[in-house]
Amino acid sequence: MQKLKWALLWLLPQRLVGLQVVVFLVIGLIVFTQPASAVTRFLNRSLMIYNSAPGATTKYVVTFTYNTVDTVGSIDMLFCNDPIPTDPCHAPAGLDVSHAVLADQSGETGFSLLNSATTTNHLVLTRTPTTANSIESQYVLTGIVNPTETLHSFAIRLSDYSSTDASGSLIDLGSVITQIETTVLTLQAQVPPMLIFCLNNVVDLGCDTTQGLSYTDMGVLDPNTTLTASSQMAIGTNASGGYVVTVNGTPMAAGTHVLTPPNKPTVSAPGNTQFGINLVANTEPKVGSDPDGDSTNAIAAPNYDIPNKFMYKDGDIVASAPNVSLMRRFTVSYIANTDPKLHAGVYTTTLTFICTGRF
Amino acid sequence: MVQYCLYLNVKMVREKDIMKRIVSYLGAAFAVLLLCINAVPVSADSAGLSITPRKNYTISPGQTVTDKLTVGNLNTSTDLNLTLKMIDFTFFDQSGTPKLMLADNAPTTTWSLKPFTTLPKTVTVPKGSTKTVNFTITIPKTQGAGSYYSAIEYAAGGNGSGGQVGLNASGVSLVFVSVPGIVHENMTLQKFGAYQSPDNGVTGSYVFIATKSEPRQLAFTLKNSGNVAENPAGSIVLKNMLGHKVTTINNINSGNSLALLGQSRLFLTCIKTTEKTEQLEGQPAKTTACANPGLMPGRYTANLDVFYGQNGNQTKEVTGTASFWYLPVWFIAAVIIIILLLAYLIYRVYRKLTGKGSNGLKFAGKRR
Repeated sequence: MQKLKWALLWLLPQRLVGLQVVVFLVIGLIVFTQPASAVTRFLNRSLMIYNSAPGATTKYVVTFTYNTVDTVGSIDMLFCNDPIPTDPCHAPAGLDVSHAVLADQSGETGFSLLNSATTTNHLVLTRTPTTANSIESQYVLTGIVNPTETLHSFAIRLSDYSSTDASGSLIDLGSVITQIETTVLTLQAQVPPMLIFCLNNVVDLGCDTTQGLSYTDMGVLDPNTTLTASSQMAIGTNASGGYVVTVNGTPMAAGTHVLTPPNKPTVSAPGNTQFGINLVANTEPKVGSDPDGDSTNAIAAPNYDIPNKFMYKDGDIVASAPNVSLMRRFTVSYIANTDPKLHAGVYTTTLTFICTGRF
Repeated sequence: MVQYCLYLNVKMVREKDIMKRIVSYLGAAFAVLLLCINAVPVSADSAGLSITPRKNYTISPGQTVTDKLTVGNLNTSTDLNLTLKMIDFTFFDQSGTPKLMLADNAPTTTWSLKPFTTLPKTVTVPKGSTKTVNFTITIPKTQGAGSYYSAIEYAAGGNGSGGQVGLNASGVSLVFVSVPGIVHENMTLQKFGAYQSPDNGVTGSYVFIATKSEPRQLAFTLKNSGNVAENPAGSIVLKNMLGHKVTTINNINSGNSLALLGQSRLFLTCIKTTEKTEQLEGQPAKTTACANPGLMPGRYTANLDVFYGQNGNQTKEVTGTASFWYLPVWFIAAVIIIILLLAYLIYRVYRKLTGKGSNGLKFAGKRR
């Protein structure tokens, strides 16, 4: 008995290791095992809308190839914003299929519309259950009123069944997707996207007023002093893509002599040739302000939002918003430094701030 | 015109040639004086404009579409003089930022709308009002199906001229035309996973193990190798390590973002979104932000299902699975403490059972 106890104790660390291995295996099974799922999809699915204008009454042609050879008695067509079969279906705004007519069919044929199942976004094609072969089939539906929403795509969720009323277990499924697009935007119900942009010496947050003279005398460029100036711009958009602002133009130059800008954020260094900008409040030198306004999703670009560090590169993004952004004001600070050997002359440039919507 | 002049009079520092320095000083000062005198009167133009950021059209070969661009002058005291120009663009990076081809000698792209578009060169918008500008796009009968896009630049005022740094403001509308027909569509999934961004998606990166904070966004990168700009739609299902569904994100492309020709496009979506309708210049603006999704520490699996396809073309599907860990520092610290406590406990038990404890007790069997 004592020998057994001794043996057990002698094995104690090994037993712990074994226990750990078992625990890790169990955890591994829980963590890494993925639930298996198998879904058979219709093949070569497509949707052709003959007139893709919003709200138009037009013809839809749904094409697909049956993947599973089985007895098919019905095809379910559910019109939703989202193509995923398992997601809740939200009917596309303005869509109406309740007056649809099955005008033509090819491939697997013999279908008619099941009127009792028809709603504004739901159709069921029914026939006497027959074996469907794996062939391309086409169904032409006329009298469908297009959605009026042009900003998002919409889908028809397709599935087929052995039953005649789209009940029971489905055989194949799959979605076709498309988008209503405008030839000319005439819908008044939609809020038109707009991009607001103003730039001046001083602007107010709403761009209603802008102030400022056309120049600021920065004084005499001196190796011991940093010359500074600032301007402001305010931007806002209700477009879901947001916006970007780029700065474009060559650095300040007098002929071939250039105030070479730092290509990375750099502190202002009097005595060195520098031309740079940033979009935040600085203390060395004291110039500029932090962005203000309600929408904090609109920010200065990372290289231009470091206090007391300046750079300039033609074409750089200096500010952006990833999505809808209320009015936000940015103050652009400019610095110019020179070294004692800078070639004499009047140094000039033209900077163009371009505000663009995103795609 | 916005002109904001910075006059730089460079001090000459060379000790030698004093006369030359004096002459240079006088010359520069004279130039500055002239420029100041010339610059002041041209400061009256407005530089506050409102435009439509994006236009989408479907135009068949041989069809002409005439539409109106609405341009607003926000300034109530001065008129807005704009120069209109078509410019081509491509993508800047993986985001939806357009890279404008501003050079006068920039080559026309194969997807350019410039040859098909008629646009007035200038427009003046009276103070505090809006003006509509007609423009026309004609797609030739022989034009192949696909996507065509360019941008309309509205340049406010003119360039600054000599002796100054002039500042100009420009707004840009992006114009996309889809020419229907059979197109080549091919999107491949390059990356998919959790995404962390400190600024709601402006910057950020994919993350596999999140330790600082729980990921608020999921992202996927699709490479568009077709000849048409794609606007994918679909959903993401997020599950925890026990296989339970945490959430389903139904609209993974809520911004209606496009993948341009040849672009690897990053699509971002919030795991949990907060929405608020506010006002922007009297118009409703639905602002969104990614909220804290309330994830517990652990491993998460996301399943992506993306559909894309042009009208009349096959609907294609891209699927993907990704996983990520959310292991906050406090959780890691807690686990380490628990492991240490367990190790210490086991050590104490072991010591006690083997009689090697600090109290000097010996195992009875050994004493024998």
